Amino acid sequence: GPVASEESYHWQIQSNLNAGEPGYVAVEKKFVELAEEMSGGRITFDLHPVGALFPISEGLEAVSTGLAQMAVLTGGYYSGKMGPIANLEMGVPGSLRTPMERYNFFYKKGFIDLAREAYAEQGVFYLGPQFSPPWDMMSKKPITGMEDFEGLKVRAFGIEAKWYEKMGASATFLDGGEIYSALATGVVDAARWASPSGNMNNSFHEVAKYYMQPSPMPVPNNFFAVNMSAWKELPDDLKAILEEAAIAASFEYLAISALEDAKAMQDMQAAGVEVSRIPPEEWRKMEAIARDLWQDYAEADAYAKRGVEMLNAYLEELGR
Amino acid sequence: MSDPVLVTTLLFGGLVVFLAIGVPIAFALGGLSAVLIATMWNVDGLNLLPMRAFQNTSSFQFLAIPLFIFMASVLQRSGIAETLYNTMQSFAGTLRGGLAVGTIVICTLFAAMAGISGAATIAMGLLAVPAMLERGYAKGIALGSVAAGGSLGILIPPSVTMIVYGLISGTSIGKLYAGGVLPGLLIAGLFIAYLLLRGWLQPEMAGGTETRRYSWREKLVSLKGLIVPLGLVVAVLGSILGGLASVTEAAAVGAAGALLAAGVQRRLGWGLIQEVCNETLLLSCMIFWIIIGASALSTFYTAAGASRLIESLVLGLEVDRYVILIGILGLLLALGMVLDTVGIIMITAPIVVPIVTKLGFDPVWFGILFIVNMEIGFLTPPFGYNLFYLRGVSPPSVTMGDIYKSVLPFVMLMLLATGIMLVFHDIILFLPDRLF
Amino acid sequence: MLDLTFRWIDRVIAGIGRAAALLVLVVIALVVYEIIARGAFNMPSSWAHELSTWLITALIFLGGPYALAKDHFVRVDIFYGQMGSRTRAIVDTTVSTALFLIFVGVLLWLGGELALRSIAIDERSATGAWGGPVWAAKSLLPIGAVLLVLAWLSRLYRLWAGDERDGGSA
Ligand code: NA
Ligand code: NA
Repeated sequence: GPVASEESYHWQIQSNLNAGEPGYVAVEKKFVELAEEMSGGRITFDLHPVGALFPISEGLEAVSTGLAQMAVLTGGYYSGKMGPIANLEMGVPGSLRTPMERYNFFYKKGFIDLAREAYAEQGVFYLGPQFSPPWDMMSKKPITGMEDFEGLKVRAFGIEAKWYEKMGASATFLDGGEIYSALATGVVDAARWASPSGNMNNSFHEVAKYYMQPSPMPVPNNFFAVNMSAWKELPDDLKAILEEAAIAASFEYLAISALEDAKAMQDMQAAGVEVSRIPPEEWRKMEAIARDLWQDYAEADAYAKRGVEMLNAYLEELGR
Repeated sequence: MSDPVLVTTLLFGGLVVFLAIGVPIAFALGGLSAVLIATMWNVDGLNLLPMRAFQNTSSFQFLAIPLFIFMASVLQRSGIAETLYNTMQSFAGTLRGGLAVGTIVICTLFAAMAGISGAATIAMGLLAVPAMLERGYAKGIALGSVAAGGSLGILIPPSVTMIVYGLISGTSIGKLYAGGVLPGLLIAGLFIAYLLLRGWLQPEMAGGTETRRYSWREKLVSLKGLIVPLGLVVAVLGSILGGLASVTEAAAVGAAGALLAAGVQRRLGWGLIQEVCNETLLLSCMIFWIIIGASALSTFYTAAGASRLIESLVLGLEVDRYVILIGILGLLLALGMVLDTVGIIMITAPIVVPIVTKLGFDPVWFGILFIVNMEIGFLTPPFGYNLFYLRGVSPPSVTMGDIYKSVLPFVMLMLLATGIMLVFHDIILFLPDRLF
Repeated sequence: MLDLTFRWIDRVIAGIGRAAALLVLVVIALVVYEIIARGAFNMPSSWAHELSTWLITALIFLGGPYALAKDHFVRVDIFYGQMGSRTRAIVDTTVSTALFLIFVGVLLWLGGELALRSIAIDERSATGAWGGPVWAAKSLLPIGAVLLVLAWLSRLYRLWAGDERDGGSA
């Protein structure tokens, strides 16, 4: 690429979260401010909250057309555009369990290269994942085993919806704005949403008093999408800065969340929320069901096939 | 991007000029946003127009708009609405302003059935405006009570606006819901008191000077006109509270229920169904195309750094905390004159809520004041959703000028309510403090 | 000749609009079906919600031109109402037409590109299990934009021809 120059760049970024939420703050502090500082101001950003510039469902379109030079997006929204590789990129249930496993999978086992190949076809440079705290389930009845899913009305979508349905639940998709009222009146019994602080921000603890553990989505991630030609214009040193800032923002998000989630969990418990725990042997059986579901992705296309093979190989390395 | 002050001037100025000379509202909003995006941002930014268009028309929550219009149109064209107003007339026969009071009561019930504004205004516009005009009510009272009553939808739960506000500001949605109830009733009460006063002072504007007393027998017989409307309210609210339907889905219960009721009363034919569908289409298109243009304009304003402008206006003020608060409310009112609700929440809430909380005000209390301000925004020119919706359903004899004039007293009443709540915090906080 | 062309355009737009209007009946049926399937049989569908919203998209984009032809796009008529018919025609032909063409032109151009890309990759819905055709819903954008342009031209023609006939009430 071009060598370092004095040319400067100004980008618009849309976050996948509201201003002030941990993942937004992480991008603000450890991506925007860090990259501005490391580049000596040669690249600067305007950070916007989710939905400010475009609906997240059109994220790939928005970034590839240059409406925004960059955005934090969530892969699950784009599986209808690019197949199950988008789900594998976001993280699938019954696979990896810790952020470090996820980091190694992307950066040491080469999954990031596969993601870059797949997203390049959408006109988007996949800068890197932004690891997220768990996406948890809150419910109106305790869930302590597979049998509790029988007849349960769950707000979920994608592979998770199929997973819960396999265990006897019925899955409904509701807009984010409808979940609170739907839980309050019993249109759904359970909803899979965010980590404790995110769930509390949505006031779900007021209407769903049980918090399922372990998390169905223990290590999901969003990702940094960059407009392809904006990326190619950058000199190599700025590219390197952005790649490292993305990693820094990832771990910052996990770190801030760990603090806020611990507090939110206690606050919710003080407000009457109970943790309902699924025992390990039962959870392993449930994970096996989920794993069968994403194994089928291999049939879909070449990207998904490579993704499933990489994930299986890594799980084998981990002894699972 | 360009200087936010310049952007603000062009946006406000352009909108006022284009609306004033009579450009169709949707095109004024959409065309102005496209011009501003292309000249002050960049041409690639224009991609937000088709994205916002598709997002709004395929939004599940907005499904309630055509469904409630459909319901109202069935009730109106099948004569059920007429019967309802006859019933109200027979009870309020000697009470000047009685039908307008009844309209406010129905609007309040509607507000409890719908999560979005617009649905109630346009439905009540279809039902109540012709009924009141026919029975000797002046335009100002008929239009004003519907425009103002319809705005209660976002204050009385359920409320999509409160959910958006709660998420962006990190305020408890349950507490906001609880907090909206008494202020909603207070505002409805002020409207009713005002309408009764108007009726007493100016009977010629509120049902005529000739009064007719109805016998008890007539009154009792007329009660059957309440069966269908009450049944619908019970079905819609019951399906929500019983956990059968989500708030949006419940609108379909209302639409199907109205169809069923008209069918049972043998007032339904294929011709009427076609007319109802046609009317639903025409009114829905009017609303959705305005929403598309308005959301494009708000998006542009957000992208242009509106929040930096707001920040510079409210940060670092070292005056009495109530002065700051009133300043913030004034700013919200000003924005409410030209922008749509979601846009205002996105631009201002992340900035003003931390300030207000730091000043020691209760976030739920402020949240409700914020929502009331958004309600006022529905009614203030030049850009007020409820004004346009009402123009779209009213007979040709009603002009936009009539509508602007009609809402003025109601805007004053809502400002009065804001003042009362500024003094008596408990009107907002009584329920949330006890329920949570 | 021109008159005949515009009459014909009005008729097509009215036909499409009146057909689209009936979609609201389908939407009511779908949502009621979904409530019953979930509430009584615990069998929510993966498609009823999304399909309903796409039908409304069709209603707005295919019906919009009809609403425009029937002059249902409201305006602030404080001054407009006072103008003579010639002044109105001038306002509509100049400022309104410019803003209209910019707005709808962008929808046609970039909405068209959005739809074409969606068609090219056979875009499917990602929220439910049914994988419905998003491309079909997005295709409504440019189609609606083309019809809107025709409806507006016809309106302008009628304005200048002094034809008071209510557009498309065929
Ligand atoms: Na409401
Ligand atoms: Na306004």
